[in-house]
Amino acid sequence: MFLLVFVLIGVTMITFFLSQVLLDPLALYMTERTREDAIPAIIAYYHLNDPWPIRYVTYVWNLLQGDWGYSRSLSQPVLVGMAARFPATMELATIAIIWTLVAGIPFGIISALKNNKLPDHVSRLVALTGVSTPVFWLGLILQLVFFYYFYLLGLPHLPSSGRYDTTLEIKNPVQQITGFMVLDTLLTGNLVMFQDVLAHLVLPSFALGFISLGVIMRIMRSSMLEVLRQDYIILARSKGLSERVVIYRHALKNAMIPTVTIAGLAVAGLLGGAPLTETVFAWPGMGRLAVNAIGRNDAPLIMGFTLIAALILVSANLIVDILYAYLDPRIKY
Amino acid sequence: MMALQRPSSWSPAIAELKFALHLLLQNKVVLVGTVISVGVLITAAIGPIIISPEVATSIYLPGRLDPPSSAHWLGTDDYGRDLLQIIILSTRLDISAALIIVGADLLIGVLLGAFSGFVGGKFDEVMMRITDIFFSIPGLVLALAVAAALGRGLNNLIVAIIIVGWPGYTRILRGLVLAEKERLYVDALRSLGIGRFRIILRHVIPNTIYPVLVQSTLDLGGIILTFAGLSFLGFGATALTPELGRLITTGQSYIFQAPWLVAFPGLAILIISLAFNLMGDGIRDVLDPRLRR
Repeated sequence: MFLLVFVLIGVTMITFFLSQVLLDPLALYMTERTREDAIPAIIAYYHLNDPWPIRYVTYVWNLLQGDWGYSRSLSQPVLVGMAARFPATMELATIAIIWTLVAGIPFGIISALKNNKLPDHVSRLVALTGVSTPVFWLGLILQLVFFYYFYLLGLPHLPSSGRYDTTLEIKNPVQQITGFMVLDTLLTGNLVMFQDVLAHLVLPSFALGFISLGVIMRIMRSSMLEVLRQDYIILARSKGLSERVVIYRHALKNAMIPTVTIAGLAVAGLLGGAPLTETVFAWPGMGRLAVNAIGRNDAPLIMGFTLIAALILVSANLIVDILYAYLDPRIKY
Repeated sequence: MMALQRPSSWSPAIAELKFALHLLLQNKVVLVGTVISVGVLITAAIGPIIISPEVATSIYLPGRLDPPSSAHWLGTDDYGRDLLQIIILSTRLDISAALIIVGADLLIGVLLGAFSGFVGGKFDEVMMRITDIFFSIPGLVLALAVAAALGRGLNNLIVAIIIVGWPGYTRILRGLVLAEKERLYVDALRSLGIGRFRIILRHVIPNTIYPVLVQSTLDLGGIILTFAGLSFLGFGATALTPELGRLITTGQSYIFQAPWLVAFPGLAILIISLAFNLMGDGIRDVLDPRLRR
């Protein structure tokens, strides 16, 4: 907990430095229509003439009050704009991490069991290709193939951009409950939109998760190999337990520990991939918002995204720590 | 009486290196990766010699968006430039940017890590907390924020990615130095009255830098992706500058009309990154005795 607070102080220092020291803080609040006589009022209001430690304290105090600055490109407070797009980013990232874990863990186990045979080589190739593929390019190619070429060939094609079909939504309005459209449509029994929302998730979540897939697969493989050489596995086998029981009851849980660590780290990759993936798929999330902010010199919005990304990553690592204790009862905090 | 065996002229580190090299050459995947990597480096180096850099700025609108043909193997782009020539010219910028970034990160990371581990105490504590902070922001997001604060431009983009990359090396080297500084030779050097800086720079770093160098080969592929990605988002290179990420930005507008404009530059990034990753992955496997099976 202490570390968490400490890290967040550090992160705010970085965002403060980037937005307030490196950039001219006054320029952020000026437009061509700002009147000359308003400048002293702006300076006073934002404490721009104070020494920087005081400005930092004011900055953090404002953050804690929920005042993350005003986004000029949105004409909205940063926090309001971020909150509106938070569910979209989280939904995409959650679906991405779920499918990478669901696919990566079994493939990792298989390639450990077939060490140095064909499945192992395939998993190695997938892993290396995964970490070497530019995610924005993969997104564009997926659109080209599964949207455009499938459409040209008259095959059922997947949507290429956005979160849902807007014309379909007019006939079947989605009631906002959680902001996660998959859940919202399911809770309200809106099956037409549920299908549509899922279809829109397929390509972006595949592109976003593809990098992490290989990493999770390889870690699962190597930790499984490590575990399979342990004495208790030999014991389990010599007791006459079936291979299934040995692997799924005895080996898997221990081999999961490093995989969980990597899954926590993969969250960093997913958040980093968000600006690129969301831009390519016109996904209305925080990453795309931040990218759009760049062109408009909207620093508060970019720093807001950086802070939220750090918050999510730190929370993910906290969850990983809690999962450790569950997976390995020997670990106590 | 047995003759006293002459001590091998090879230090254990060099013997290990020779053994590793032997294993490396046996691993076909690594060999392929290394061959492609070297090929890419050569292409990047001689690109502007075999292809006139003027190609990048010569606009021929009647021949724009031509599909791949025998005259233009990979087709032409929206300025009518030959895509293959532009891609070859582009590799130079992407590769040299990646090398500069890794080099700078190594320099910063190794120096800070070595001093952090060797000096210990408050300095070490502060350094480790700083790296904690850097690790708590997703790399690409931080690079994006720094690049946004510095403003557009190639140099600013490179600086932004450098700022994000060093803490990894600092962590690795610090851990190694913590173990290394307990060795006898360090005590011996100290008792000879040799200063801290000299011990660190001349003795401790050369003995511990190896794993960090391996890690840096592994990172090259990722850095090329980050650089191209941020360039794709509009940082860095301007429209006519040959750069792979930037080429994809342009191609995106013509994705259905002229898909080769996206497909080939992206494929080039993939091949370059994959080659470095294959090489780095293999080198790590060979040097890490735990994985040698």
